[in-house]
Amino acid sequence: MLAGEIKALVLSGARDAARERFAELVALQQRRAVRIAYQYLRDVHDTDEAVQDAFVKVFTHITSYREELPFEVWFTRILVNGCLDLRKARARRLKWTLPMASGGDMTPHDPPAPQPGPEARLVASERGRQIAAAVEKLPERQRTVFTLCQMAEQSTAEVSQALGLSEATVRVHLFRAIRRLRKLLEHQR
Amino acid sequence: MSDHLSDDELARLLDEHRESVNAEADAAFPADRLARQQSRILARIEHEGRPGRLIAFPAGYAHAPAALRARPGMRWVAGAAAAGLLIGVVAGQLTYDFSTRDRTRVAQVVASRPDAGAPALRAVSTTLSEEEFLGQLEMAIEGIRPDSLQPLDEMTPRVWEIAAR
Repeated sequence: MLAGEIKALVLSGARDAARERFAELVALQQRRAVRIAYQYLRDVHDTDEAVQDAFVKVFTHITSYREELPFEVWFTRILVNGCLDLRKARARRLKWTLPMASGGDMTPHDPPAPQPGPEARLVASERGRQIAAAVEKLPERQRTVFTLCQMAEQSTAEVSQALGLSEATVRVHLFRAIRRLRKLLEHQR
Repeated sequence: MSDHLSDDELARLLDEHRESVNAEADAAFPADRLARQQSRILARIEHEGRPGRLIAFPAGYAHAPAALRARPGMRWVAGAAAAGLLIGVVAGQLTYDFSTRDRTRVAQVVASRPDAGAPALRAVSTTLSEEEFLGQLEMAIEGIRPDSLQPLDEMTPRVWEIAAR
């Protein structure tokens, strides 16, 4: 609804008013956007960049927003595409900057951990590292579907709209992703 | 511990992981950082749609275009010069094409003449040999030869004399 208002304001030439309303939209969506981007990128600076770019793109292309689609779906699509682009760029960067011996290991560097007790932190971080490594090994489409469904807690219908896939395809990707994760995690035990 | 992960166990693991990553994201992006991010987003969209600012380089020549704009006569002169150049180039091109075409046409007419009884055309050389040309050149400049160089000239052999030997 808010996105529809912003679109109308931009179309009528009231850009200042549109920007004011857009600030409200950013405030509403920002935390969720940061969480989704962080799930993908696991890097604070990349997450910041991806979220900023996604919001700027939304405002720039607000006139092409179709109001029959929930704004979250449209926005998630833009954000996820941006995150995938950043991941590819980062992989290219790593390929040329890391020595050949460690070039194949593309696990993301760990961001600062939260601060519970040392023992719990160790166990949690080890388990988290294993799951993150397993998720990294998924094929791109499976990882995207899994991240949106499981990590961003979106329904398969929302993910199908966000990715432009049929809901049945999303379910298949999700099923395969979980099956593969299970195997990978069982191997690590 | 069994190697097999039950559905419940996997679901629990993934839920824990999600909560943990979300907590990491929240810790990495506290409220003040989100506020900074928001202001950067708004600053970026404020510049969207505005024309880019032209930065003069080098700085000393910043007003040169303004001076040109203030003198429209200069533009007329430049336009006339460009037009003259263009006309000259086009005219030169057309002249060249016509002469080439005329020669080709004459050659075609001569080659396709039907009267076989006419005497055959002989190729007549219209070019001078190198020696003849140099000789004629020497003759031409004979008249402007200073008297002081006469003895020297007499000592110097002629080109055609050497060529004849």
